[in-house]
Amino acid sequence: MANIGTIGLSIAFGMGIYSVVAFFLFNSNRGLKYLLSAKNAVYGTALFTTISVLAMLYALITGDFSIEYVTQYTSQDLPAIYKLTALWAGNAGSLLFWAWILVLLAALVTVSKENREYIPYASPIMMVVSVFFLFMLNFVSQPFVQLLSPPPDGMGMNPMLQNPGMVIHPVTLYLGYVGFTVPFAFAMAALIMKNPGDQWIKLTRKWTLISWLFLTLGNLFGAQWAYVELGWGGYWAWDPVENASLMPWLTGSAFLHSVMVQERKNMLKIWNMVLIIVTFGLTLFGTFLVRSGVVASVHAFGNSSLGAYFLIFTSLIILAALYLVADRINLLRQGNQFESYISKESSFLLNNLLLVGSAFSIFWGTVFPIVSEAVVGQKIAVGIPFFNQVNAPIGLAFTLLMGICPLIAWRKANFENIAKNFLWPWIIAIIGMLVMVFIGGITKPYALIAYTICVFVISSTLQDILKGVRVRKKLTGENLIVSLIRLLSKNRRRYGGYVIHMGIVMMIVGITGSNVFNSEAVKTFKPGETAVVGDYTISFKGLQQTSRDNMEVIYADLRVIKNNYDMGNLQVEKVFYSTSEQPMTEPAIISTFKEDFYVLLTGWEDDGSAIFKIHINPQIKWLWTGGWVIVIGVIFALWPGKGSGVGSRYLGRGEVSYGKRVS
Amino acid sequence: MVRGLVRKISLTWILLGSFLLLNISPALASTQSDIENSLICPACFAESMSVAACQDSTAQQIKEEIRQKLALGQTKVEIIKTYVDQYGEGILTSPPKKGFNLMAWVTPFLGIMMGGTLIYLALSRWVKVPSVKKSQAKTKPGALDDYYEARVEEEFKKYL
Repeated sequence: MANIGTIGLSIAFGMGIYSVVAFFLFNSNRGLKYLLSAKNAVYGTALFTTISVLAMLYALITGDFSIEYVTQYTSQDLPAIYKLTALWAGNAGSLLFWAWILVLLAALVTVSKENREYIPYASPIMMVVSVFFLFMLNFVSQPFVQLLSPPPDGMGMNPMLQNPGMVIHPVTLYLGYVGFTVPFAFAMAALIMKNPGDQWIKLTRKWTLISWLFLTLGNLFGAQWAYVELGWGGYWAWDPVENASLMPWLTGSAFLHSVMVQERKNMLKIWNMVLIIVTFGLTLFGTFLVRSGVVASVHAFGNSSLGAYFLIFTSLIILAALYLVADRINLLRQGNQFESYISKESSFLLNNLLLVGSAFSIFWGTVFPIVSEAVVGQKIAVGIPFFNQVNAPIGLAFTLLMGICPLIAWRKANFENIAKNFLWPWIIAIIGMLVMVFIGGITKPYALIAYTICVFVISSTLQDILKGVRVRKKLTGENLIVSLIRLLSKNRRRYGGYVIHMGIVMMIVGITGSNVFNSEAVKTFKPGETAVVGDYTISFKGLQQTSRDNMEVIYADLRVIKNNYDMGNLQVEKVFYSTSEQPMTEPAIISTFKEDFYVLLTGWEDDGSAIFKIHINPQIKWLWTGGWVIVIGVIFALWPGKGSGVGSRYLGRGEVSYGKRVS
Repeated sequence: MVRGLVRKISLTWILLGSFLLLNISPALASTQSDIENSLICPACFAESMSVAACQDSTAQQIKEEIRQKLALGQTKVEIIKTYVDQYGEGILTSPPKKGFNLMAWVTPFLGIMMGGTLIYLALSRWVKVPSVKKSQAKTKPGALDDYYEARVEEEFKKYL
């Protein structure tokens, strides 16, 4: 198996280089045969990388301990699913996985008829990135290194990674990271082809949005994994690696918004180029952070020389991209104008400012320890309090914009109109705030502001939909439901965006509630005792012990009653894995939209009494649910067919052309 | 003149809004978790994991110490100070807001302000208000207005 894998990788590397060369020859007019040959080489690279991945999976499943990687990350008693996920548990394996997704995407892009014009330029760019990863796999971090004397059993997987969250989190995150290579490659191709219009944006819209969705989900699954597995009651620690995945999400979100200005008004071309370059660069920067050990992180794959390679490659490709932009800057000059200071166009600029500003603040916080060490010689930590305090106001400001910007007209808006549009949403928001203060009893200013903004965003969005329905009803004479459905389904891009905004608002509610109102308690119980925490009455019967697969489990069954309502039994566990010294504390959670009841078994004493830590985390479920709402919104917006196209274009002063309504 | 006014109003609005938002720092639920989040577990410097997040025995011990100190009536600032005296500033999860470390806090907002200024400058270059003469702007109601309105509506329906 090891040989198949190694040979597969070297063939893939060779073919990857060949494809780049052949594309180059085709582009210098050496004939069509080179294009066909180059395309085949792309498919070949994908095929041989796939063979290597299959070889690795086979080795992992069958427990071929002659391969060092298999020994390091699996053991015989590891459940089958985690033997498979061991592919991305370690350094070399996860690089292999990354490269695999990348070459598959490159093959998909190359095979597509839709992209025909762009292929000779976009494919080689994707292949250059692929070749870099294949180079790493062949020469720097080889996954198929063999051991001279294979041990009878492997070292096993880190218990923390044995969780369903770890099956799905890396996959979604990698898909998101790697996916952004596609719009990047097309942007560069557009520049090389001297075709700076919005064609590359249109062709890659699906890719960008889907990558963005995967990045969103990857972050959420990671947060959820941390929440149910790490046992500290939180879900986001602003660890450098978490930041590394949030930054491209923020700049990617900015990009998704600002391309609309280019599509509609043929402006901001340079800015869009810069945004996609930065986003792509940040996805690579994340990989560099994880694998270099330059910053202290819980995610680090350990110190390795990989970091330097990533740093050099990332810098080179970013510099090359920026050079290309600078070289073609004349093509990117904008001919169009803004017609007013207040317009949808200018509101997108504000949105971009905040999203990119937030990404910048996170970047700054992440690298500050290095800056500080270099300047004053002191390596200072930059952690949760910093990022919360800096990003909370920025986050609230852009939530507010989410309520305002969609309602501002393209081209030209004025204050009277805006004031009229927002009268009702503001009244509702203020009523909502009064209700929260006097009936809900919420007095913390931060939460109050956040919730009020959320109410405002929801009501202004609903108002806008209602207005559309009313106009439609009047014009067509349809009834309310029909016109609502038709309105939404014929402008799916717009309303899909609204759905996504609602998902984000739900997440903001969740983040606010869980950060501002969380509480915790530590209780020691003797067997048979009952205690009251908040609204909950908990009774403890005693500790029990059992063994499962590769672990010994000490657990307690807790009966939980909330306001005389039986919430059922909770099984709280402390798990001892055969391969790890430290036990894992598995929380038990009762999750409702109001709050999560989160219990941990932290220890026990000789007399059979047990110590529990109880967290009450309000509204966390809103965060996860918001993620699913975003999925619905993206699918709604992207579903092919009528209604997913772009709206009217504004060419110049007074001219309006309607874009094709069918995508 | 109207344009200048609009500009002034929007600027004031943005400034006020941002000052309002900047001045509130999120107060976490309890002093206990606030302190736990402010300190790095001394056994986990390599990962710079906070006491709150860390599960090992050192962190448990510090959590217990914090609980006792709070029970004795010490304030958050006092408690954090004892740990800083003991381990140095490296134990803080966030840089103190003084000296060079102030840079950490100020730079992001400086960045955003600079970005905002750039956008403002760009806008003032890009915005070309069409100069419509007043006499032209006010058109008299014509006989065909109704006809045109109906046509517009008719055309509009095609896009519904």
